[in-house]
Amino acid sequence: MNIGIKHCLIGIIFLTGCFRGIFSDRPKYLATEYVVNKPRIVALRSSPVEMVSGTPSTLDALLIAPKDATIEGWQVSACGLDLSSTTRTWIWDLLCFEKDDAITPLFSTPSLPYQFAVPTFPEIDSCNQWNDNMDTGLAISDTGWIEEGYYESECAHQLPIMVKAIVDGEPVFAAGFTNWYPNLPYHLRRDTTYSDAGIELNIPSQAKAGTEVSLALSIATNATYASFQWYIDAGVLLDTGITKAHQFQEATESFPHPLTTSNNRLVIPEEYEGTLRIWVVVHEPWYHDFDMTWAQGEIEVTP
Amino acid sequence: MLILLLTQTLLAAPVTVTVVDSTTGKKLSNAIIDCTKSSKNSTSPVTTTEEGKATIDCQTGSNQVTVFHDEYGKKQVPVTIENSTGLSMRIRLESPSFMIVEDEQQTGAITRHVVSSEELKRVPGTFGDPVRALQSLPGVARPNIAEGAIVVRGAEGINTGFYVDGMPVPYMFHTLVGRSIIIPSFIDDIEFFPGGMPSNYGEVTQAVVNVRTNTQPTEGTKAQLRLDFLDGGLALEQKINDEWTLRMAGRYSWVGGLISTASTIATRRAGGEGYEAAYLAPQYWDQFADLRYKVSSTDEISVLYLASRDTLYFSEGRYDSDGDGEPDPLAWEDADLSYNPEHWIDNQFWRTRLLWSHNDGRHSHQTWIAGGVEHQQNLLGAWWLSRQGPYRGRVGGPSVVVRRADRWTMPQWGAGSALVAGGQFTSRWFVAEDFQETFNVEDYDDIVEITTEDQQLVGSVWLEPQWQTEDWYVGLGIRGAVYSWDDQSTFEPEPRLSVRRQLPSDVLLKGAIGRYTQLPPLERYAQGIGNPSLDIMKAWQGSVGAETNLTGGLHIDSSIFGGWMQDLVVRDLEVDTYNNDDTVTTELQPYYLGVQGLAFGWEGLFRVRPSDTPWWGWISVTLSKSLRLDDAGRLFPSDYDMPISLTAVGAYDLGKSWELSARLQTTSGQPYTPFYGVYVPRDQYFTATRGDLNSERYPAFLRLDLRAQKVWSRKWVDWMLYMDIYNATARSNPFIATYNYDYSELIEIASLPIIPTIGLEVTY
Repeated sequence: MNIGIKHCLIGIIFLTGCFRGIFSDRPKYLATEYVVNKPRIVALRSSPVEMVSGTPSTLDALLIAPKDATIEGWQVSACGLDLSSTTRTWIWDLLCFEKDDAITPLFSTPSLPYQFAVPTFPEIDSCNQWNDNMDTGLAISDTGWIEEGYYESECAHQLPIMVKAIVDGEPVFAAGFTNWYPNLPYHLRRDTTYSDAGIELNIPSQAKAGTEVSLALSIATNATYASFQWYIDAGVLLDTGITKAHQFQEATESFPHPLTTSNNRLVIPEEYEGTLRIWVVVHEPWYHDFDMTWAQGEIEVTP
Repeated sequence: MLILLLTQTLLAAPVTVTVVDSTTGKKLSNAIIDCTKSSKNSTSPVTTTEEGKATIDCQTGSNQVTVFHDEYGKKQVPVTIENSTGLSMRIRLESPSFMIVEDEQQTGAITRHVVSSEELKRVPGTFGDPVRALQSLPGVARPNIAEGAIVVRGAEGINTGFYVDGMPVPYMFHTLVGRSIIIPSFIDDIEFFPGGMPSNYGEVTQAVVNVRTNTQPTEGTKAQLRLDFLDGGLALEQKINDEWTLRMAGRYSWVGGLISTASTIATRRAGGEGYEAAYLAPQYWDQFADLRYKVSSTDEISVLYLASRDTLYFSEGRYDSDGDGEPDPLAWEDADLSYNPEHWIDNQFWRTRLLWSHNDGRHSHQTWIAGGVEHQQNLLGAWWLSRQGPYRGRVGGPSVVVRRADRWTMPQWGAGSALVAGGQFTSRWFVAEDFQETFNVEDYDDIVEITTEDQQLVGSVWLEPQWQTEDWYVGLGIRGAVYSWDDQSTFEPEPRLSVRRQLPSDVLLKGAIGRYTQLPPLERYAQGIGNPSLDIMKAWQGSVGAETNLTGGLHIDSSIFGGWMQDLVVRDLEVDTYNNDDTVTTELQPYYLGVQGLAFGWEGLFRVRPSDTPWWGWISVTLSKSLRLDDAGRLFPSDYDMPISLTAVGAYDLGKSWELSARLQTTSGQPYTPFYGVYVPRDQYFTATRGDLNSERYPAFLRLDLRAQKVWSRKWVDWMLYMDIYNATARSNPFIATYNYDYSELIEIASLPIIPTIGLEVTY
């Protein structure tokens, strides 16, 4: 039974507004919530971008918070990783983390980035046959990509990772979903990630309060499909907190990498004085959750 | 002077006045009646006879008839006499009988709250329902919304047993509106044990509410019509003759009809058809009938019938998509469902009892057999709507209870001593159905229902000698109960001790300790919706206190209490995982777990009783803590843990039958389990993860209720018009809350607003 509540009247005589907001507005878009007024983890990245059994991985996160906040530590865990199971497991939501016995702690640390060893888990023997026999079109001898130790099979678990920071005694969370390979797949060796690319945030080093300044984020890769998420200490972003690529330049002889640029405009509040921080996160939605990069800058604001 | 005397004689008119108790209808003798036309013209007062009657000479024109009775106080009624023929009239005096009392036959009850019946009915914010007024007493937790749950001394809602004239009933309050299922005019008094129940009460671990309708005799005829915006009810009591007495009552809610009508009108005005209207409406009714036959001076037989139904009805609206002029059938109407999916909540039961009462002064007993059918259905699955009953399912079936309770006076042990003994056998054939799968299906052909059947048998016996001397009371109860359920059985001993000591300075010291056991409800251990590993709930309770009367009518009752509970059933949420090939799906599902509970605290009641002063009231204070400990070592507050609770009730008689009253209630905020936002970059949005169970609290609760009433007394009929304003300051006390987009702020979704009620009560 799928009840569609259309124009449901919960009106009882003399009871007006008793259930106000029960069909409340949809959540605000992040495009408008870019001022850093509370701690938030806004970006995650790992190297490699996916987990491989028994290999080292470096995990980093961008936590933005008001200037006086203190980050006391980090805890990172995975869920649904059965170290003895050979059955592929896909978990699409985070409710798994409410089952204590399904959680695998990965590490605790006072600061990030942090390198840790991915837990060792066995080969997966129940992959779909279609995946196992997928023709990649790449012959081993032709490309040389497949070297000894690397495997064609892309069979992997998909499990979530929860990142928790303690900021001024309060927990702050972020999570992502990533593939967990029993063996290193060749594409991890081949593909480049956003964090591999050079990134530069072009902002003025100084500005006066009440003025409009131009911001530009350039990344040395093809990021035409990426989202650029902007965060600031104060002010108004005239192009909102989420922008797309505004310019793209193919690799040239003088600059042998593609270059993608996204712009924004910041109006500094009249009453602001001091250091105004700016962060930009580059991420391609619905791609690798842990393939993100970011840049940070500061503007000294004078009256 | 002769002319004046003749004139006065010619203008005199006889008025026959019958004086009765407003609650019981009992005719009151020795009431003094006076008739005054002006301050200079008053007649000699007369006194009512055993029949409650007296005839007094008044003068034609407007007069004031004044009645005064030692026990009932004074009442003045205006009357206009048109000619010398005179008239007859009936005057009702408000009963001073205490509504919440210890059982007169169980004087050993340690914890007793004594509040006048009329006080209870006039407590604001209770819509004239004296049972709801229990929520204003110490030790009773404030319910979530307008519901009438009675949660006592840190226990759970299911640990309060409800009875009507000693017969157990599955619930006492109508869902959502919170009115009790017994029409108020039939309630003679309420036995309320917040703990320390005597041994004749079992199958409950914390508290007992026994609504009694049969402690006051019925005299003559009494009829009452009660109307307000929620419902209308009619009650009739008739003493047919010296042997037969009949009482009947019925109440029906029309708030659902008003909602459906308003929705239909709004839909038509918007250009649609009436059948397209969608609405959600509560509907309820209750019925009561009691026929008594006095076999002899010592024996009476009675048949009692009680029924109630509550429905939260959702009409999703119909459409004529094929254009044939007829609304299309709903998807579920062609399916062979065992339930009505439009009844999001459907609770109903009926009970019939045959009772034989005997009392020859030395030995009394009550022997009865009761049977009936009940079921509770909840498709909404709303955790906040009902902490009792099934979660997205239905449970119910027939039950039979047989009971014999005896009491022998034992003067040789001391005046007032007695020996109490008895036995009770209960059998329930219940079925629990899990509708959680059906609630989410798209195709009704795919319906899967999980059904659990069980026969619950409970047999208990008790023996309690009660020694009563001038200053001491000691009751030593021995009770044993055998429970059989879910292919297992157990014997549970339930010893009980209660002691009272009357000190010379009008101070009563009291203490009690005892063990109590209770079977978990079927829906809590049924397959699918329950936890099959649940065990019998057990509790040790103890309390020590004192009460005294001070000058000025001030009464103080103070106690400290403690309780340790085992296998207490609480509802939590757990993650269920479903494997579909290699995909694991997780879903948050409710489940019941057995936990240990610890509750302790202090409760105090400070009262000024109705007397010669025009005002009365009380202040009830509770300082307490209620904790739970599960097998995983999690220690958390209970759902009703409210460390501070304060209720003040006061009323003032303005004269001329006007009365104003107010109730102020403030408590600690209710615990809740917080959510923390989890940012998911892939989706660029926030989801949530739960924090520690009940680790946060809503803001402190504060509510002010007001009431005003005016009574018009006429010849045979009393008219009472009242306005009851619930939450008069319109304070927002959220009972449903959600979070903003990143779970950083709690946003109230729903709270009860100011609710003014106007009601009319006509009593004949």
